[in-house]
Amino acid sequence: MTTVWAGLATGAIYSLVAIGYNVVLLASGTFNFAHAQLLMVGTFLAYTGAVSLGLPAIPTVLLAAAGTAAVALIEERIAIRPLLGRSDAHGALITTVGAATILDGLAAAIWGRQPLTVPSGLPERPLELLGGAVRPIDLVLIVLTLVVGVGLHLWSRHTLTGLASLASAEDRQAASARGINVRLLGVGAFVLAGAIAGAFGLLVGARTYAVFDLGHALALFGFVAIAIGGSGSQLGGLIGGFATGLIYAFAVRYIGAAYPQLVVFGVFLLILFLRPRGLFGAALERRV
Amino acid sequence: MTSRRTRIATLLTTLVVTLPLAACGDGGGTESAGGDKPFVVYFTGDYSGAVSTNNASLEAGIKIAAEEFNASGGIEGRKIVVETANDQNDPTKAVSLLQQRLSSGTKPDLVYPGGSSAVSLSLLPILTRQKVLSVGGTVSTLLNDPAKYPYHFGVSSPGKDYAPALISVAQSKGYKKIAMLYSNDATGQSSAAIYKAAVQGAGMEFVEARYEATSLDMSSQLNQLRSQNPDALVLNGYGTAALYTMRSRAQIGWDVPTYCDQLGSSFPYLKNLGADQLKGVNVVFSAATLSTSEHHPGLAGFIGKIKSGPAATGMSSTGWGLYATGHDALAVVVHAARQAKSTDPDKLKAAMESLAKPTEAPLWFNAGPAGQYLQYAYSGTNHFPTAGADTFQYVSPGTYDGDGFYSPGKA
Repeated sequence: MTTVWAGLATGAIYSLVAIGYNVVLLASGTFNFAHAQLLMVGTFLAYTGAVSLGLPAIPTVLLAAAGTAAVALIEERIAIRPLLGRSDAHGALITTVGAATILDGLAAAIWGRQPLTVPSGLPERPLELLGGAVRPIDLVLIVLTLVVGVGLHLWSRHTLTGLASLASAEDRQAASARGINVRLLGVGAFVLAGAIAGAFGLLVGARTYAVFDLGHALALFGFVAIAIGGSGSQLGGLIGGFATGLIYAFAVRYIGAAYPQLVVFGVFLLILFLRPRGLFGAALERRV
Repeated sequence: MTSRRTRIATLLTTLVVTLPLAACGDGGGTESAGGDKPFVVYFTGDYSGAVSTNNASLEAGIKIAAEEFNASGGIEGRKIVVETANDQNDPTKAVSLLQQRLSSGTKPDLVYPGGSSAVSLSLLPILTRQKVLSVGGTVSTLLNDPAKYPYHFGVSSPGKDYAPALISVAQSKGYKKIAMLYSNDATGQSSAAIYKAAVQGAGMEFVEARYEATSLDMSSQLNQLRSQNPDALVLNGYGTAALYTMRSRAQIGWDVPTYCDQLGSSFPYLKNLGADQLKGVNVVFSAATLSTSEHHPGLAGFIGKIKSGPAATGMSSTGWGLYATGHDALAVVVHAARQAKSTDPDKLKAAMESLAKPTEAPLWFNAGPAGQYLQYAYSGTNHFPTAGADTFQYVSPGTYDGDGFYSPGKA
């Protein structure tokens, strides 16, 4: 069961990355490759709040959420906004990769290259739960990720703004013609994704430490999570992240420590072959 | 017409002003081509990347050595000049910069070939072709190949010299099976090969597990090893990998005696982990760098120069040992030059391969006050130093004190 808890806790972080990808993808049709770096920035801002400024947990979470949202807003203005309306739809892929590289470099320059311990305020001693050992921080991370993932799924399906996001993602011009402010939705999506990433900075940082190259590992498996779950589906991203974490942990434990990446990417390829839209993604019709 | 006169006047004025300068330059060039031209040390390292702190310590050490030997007449009468290049720890960039330097017309007399084995390996073919002596602190076994790289020498102990410390502890405690968790990259695999050979050579069983650079949790790997009931665990890793391992080890409640390899031992654990997460953890250090050891008589002055220099802040993270690596690289060459009474690369190489053991305290610091911890007994087939049987010792994780000595078990 300890392997299950470890897989779920790591998977929760992959789910958070997948959720962030989906928030932006649904509202603006852009795949933000720098989202894992926003999560990394969140961990550093949480460190700044909790350690450098000595703030309690709630103000630290608010500081990290606001700061990361601001970084996401700047990214949208610099890396996305200038490309809107251009015929080359793939430009944003390149500019968001560029933004990710810049964020890595800035984090290293500001906070250094050594890992920094982010104190969560929760006890370090593991709990015995359902026959396995789990740290309290991991338990909170798993539960809150589930809450946010399910909440965003319900929001995107049952609220006017959520439905407007879906409409905007499907056809920006048609949505705009129906009176939806697609530009505002796009900006709002970046800010929301940044705020969520920042709000989780304290919990993620307490598990992974704040380190400038954290985004590399998270981006890779966040992408696998979204591909498994289905791009555009919040529920799919959530489940895809947890599934990736569990597959990785079980592959290490029972197949061999040399094979986890092979197994994860084997599952990834299998799903791409058998169900290219992912487990929860919707098939789209396109006139050809 | 006025314009033409102006141009002629300008040309004449330029000639009048520049001719004496050109003459000065020529004179300087003639002088520098003589026997007392500077002894140029080309130091290439990472000034802007992940290991820039380590690089700053190495550079400071080599510059302190240059200053020290220049004060006593330089190297065989030649003033030592240190040139630096920022290779960003990138072998391609390092090669490009070295080629630029060599194409300038004069060759450096000595090269410190980078802060990583990958960079050193990329530079050695060029340095060999150019017959340029190089002395470095990188430790890949591939670098110790005098047939292929006859002008390269190492000043740091290769990884295999650390394994006897583990075997000694394992035999004294009666361990029968030893597990190792290591990074699935060239460094980790190289370390695992060394420990596997040493453990199996000592008649013990060896079991292993690897982790990827993207791993965020090590509990599955540790559980896999735990299921095989080893008596001790060897850990290879640095940074977050080392932290994840210690934290996962505590999470699964496995307080097996844990011994870090050379890389794992250099990480500052006490800065990031609590005592309960470090229960049973041991790190390996050279006896020369321990606060409890007997000190080299010249070390206090060297440490004083580090502390008053521009790279003083690195002392708390690297100790004085890394500064001494830079220092010792030059010191060994100075010792060889005194023996050869020459700075000719072939004569220096020959002197290095038959280096006389110093009768007093050696010019270098990492070997201890009497050179007992590290012998620079180079030969035609071995260009790396040899560690003594008790050079490396396992101690509990600690920190560097104000003078850069390692203090075990002190937060």
